[in-house]
Amino acid sequence: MPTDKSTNPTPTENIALAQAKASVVTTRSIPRWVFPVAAAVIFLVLAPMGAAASLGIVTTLTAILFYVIVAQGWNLLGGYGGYLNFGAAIFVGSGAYMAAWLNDSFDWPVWATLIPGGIAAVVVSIVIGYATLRLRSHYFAIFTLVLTFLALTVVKNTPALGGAIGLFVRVDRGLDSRQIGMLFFYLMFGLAILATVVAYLVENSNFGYALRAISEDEPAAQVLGVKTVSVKLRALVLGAALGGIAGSAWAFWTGYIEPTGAFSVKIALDIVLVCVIGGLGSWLGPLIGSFIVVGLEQILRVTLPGLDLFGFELPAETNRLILGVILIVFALFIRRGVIGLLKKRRGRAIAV
Amino acid sequence: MNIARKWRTRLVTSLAVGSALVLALVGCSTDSGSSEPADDSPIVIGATLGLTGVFSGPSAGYQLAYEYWLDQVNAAGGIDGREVQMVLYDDESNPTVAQQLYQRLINEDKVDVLFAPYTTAVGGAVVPIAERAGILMINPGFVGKEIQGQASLLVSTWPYQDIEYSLGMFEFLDTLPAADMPKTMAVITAQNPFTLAALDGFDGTGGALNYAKERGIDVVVNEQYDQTATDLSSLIETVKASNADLLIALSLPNDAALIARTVNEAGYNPEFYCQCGSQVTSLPNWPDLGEAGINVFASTSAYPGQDGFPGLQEVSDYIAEKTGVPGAPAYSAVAYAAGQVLQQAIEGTDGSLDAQVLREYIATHSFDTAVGTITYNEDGTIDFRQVLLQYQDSGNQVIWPTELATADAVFPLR
Repeated sequence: MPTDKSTNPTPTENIALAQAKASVVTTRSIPRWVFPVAAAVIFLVLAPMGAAASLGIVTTLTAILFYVIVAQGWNLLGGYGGYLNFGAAIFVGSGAYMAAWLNDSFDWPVWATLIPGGIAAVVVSIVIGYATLRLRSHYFAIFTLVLTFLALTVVKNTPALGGAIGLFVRVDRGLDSRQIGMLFFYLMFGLAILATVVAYLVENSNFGYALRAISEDEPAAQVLGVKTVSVKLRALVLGAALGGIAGSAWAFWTGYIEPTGAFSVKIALDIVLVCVIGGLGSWLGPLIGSFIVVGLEQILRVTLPGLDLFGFELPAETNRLILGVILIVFALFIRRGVIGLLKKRRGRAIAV
Repeated sequence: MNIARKWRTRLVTSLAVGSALVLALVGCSTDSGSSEPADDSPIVIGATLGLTGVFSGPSAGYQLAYEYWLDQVNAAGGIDGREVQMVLYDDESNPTVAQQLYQRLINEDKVDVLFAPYTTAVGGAVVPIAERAGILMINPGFVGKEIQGQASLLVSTWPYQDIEYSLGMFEFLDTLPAADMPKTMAVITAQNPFTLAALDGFDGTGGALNYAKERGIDVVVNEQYDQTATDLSSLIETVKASNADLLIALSLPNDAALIARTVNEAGYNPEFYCQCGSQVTSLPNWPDLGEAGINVFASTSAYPGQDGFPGLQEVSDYIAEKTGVPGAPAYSAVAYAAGQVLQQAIEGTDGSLDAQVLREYIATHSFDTAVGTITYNEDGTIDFRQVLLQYQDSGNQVIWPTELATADAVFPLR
């Protein structure tokens, strides 16, 4: 995992980093160990679920853990760095397609495709990073959205990747439903812990402080010597690697991928939603946000249909409407997300 | 405020939020009953449709057909004396969401039988789930020779598969005198899983390209296009320049209308023009095309007004009443047929809900449905049957099969 320890910051860069660090540390009102303990509790409670909970719950929890991995990756640049973007689906899709292609062409199992999936996303992210990271704020956001459509079009027209027809991804046929459910639950579980640890280490490293400095005032950070483009690129690449690995696992879990689903803007939007609601720029935010957004979506999906509201049947769109309202409430009043409610920190809140 | 107390409160809050969420999720699982159903308990069918999202149009047609079938079957005393219920969720046209919901249908709602969701992209992701759980899935939702071949408990009600979408047109051409048989073909295909299968076939069989080859028709243009395109004039100019006798467009509804308009504006006048990708000429917007829509051929599963399609007229009338649009989308017929196959199979096995028993029965019997009297192949698909329509000045006319024809074909196009 890349951190800034290998490089020696210049004196002025040190000032920028120290200021960013100070804005985090000096106003922290909760002891440092509380959040790690909270995360550990969440993972400990989850651990037996793969074997104990019913398969419906296991599937929903697996989806939540998938979102945790991707959102932790996205949060590095999108949250800490303040570069809101809609690019998550590109990296998930790249990983998913690499995994599906390896499985389809060479019968590789899911374990073997995780690293290649991550590498595929890293390669894509480096190309994207060099091309776009000199763009700022909303230009970058729009560009990533356009790139998602570009990736979709390229894959649709690539016969080796199944074109618009897509690819089937096969797991061992000897496994039963419960074994398959457990396999993917624990795979995503392990990866979610990995992603969360990565995010935690980044948050408490010079690399993380450099990202915060960029988020708070990029020109100032640059003037003080923070190598902004390089820092942003590393955040993008690291996030992409997590997205790509998650995408590989997702391809096997879904069993069939085609371009429209793999490069879906819905994934990209949901990831932003997860981080905004959980808390941008906090390693615990994506963890909590994934539970709230994906869990709530699923609960609303299964409870709302057929509900009568004063004689009117609720329309199918109601769950999206409720999530939309929640997003607006968070954007207007709770800009630091659920985590922001639990701790106070100075500095710029990120507008949505 | 005491700082220690303040953070303690926050710690408690955060833990409470976390545990509440976990408990909420677990709580969803604990309310499901696991008792052995009594004989008079309802038969529960589980399904999802893309009621929101990109597939909401066709999904609404399915929902209406299911509604109508449930009303009919329950009004007549249910199946084998048992009420029939359906648990229907919105999969948001998204395969990952559908996977979660099908797991829920199987494990929490404990449904007896599943109906497949609309379209291959979503259906492909849930078929393995039903297979692994050993639950029968009746499939009015999508066509796919490859998926059908891989699943042992998947039973289609589509009387033709993706690779056979244009076969009705070619079978019709076979009935013409040799002099009228087209010599050249242009084919344009939307970039979508099932239309591309309709072009290429699967494992060397089926597909418009193979059908043309078998008949010695020369393929002079073979192009794909993005189905979200808003201007296809350069593509149609290419087709026009080839002067092909036969134009096959493997399209979805929106792009089909665009192609018909563009062909008309370009003044291209082939002998035959078939929108063979999905049934479009009975859609509400087709008459709005005016001259551009006239004499276009399209294939469909069944068309009302014919004998031998029990329930088709009624479900078409119901949908027409609900939506205010006459005609029968192909979806309504196959959706209604799914209910009919299930009912006849359960009644034929004296009320069995065992997946293997039902599957066995379906494999060895014939069923009277809104898509005709059908028998099954080993892979759960139905022997090919199709109706070829032509939208003439007088509206849709059945052209082929010849014994069902309501009018003679009009050609050339203009």
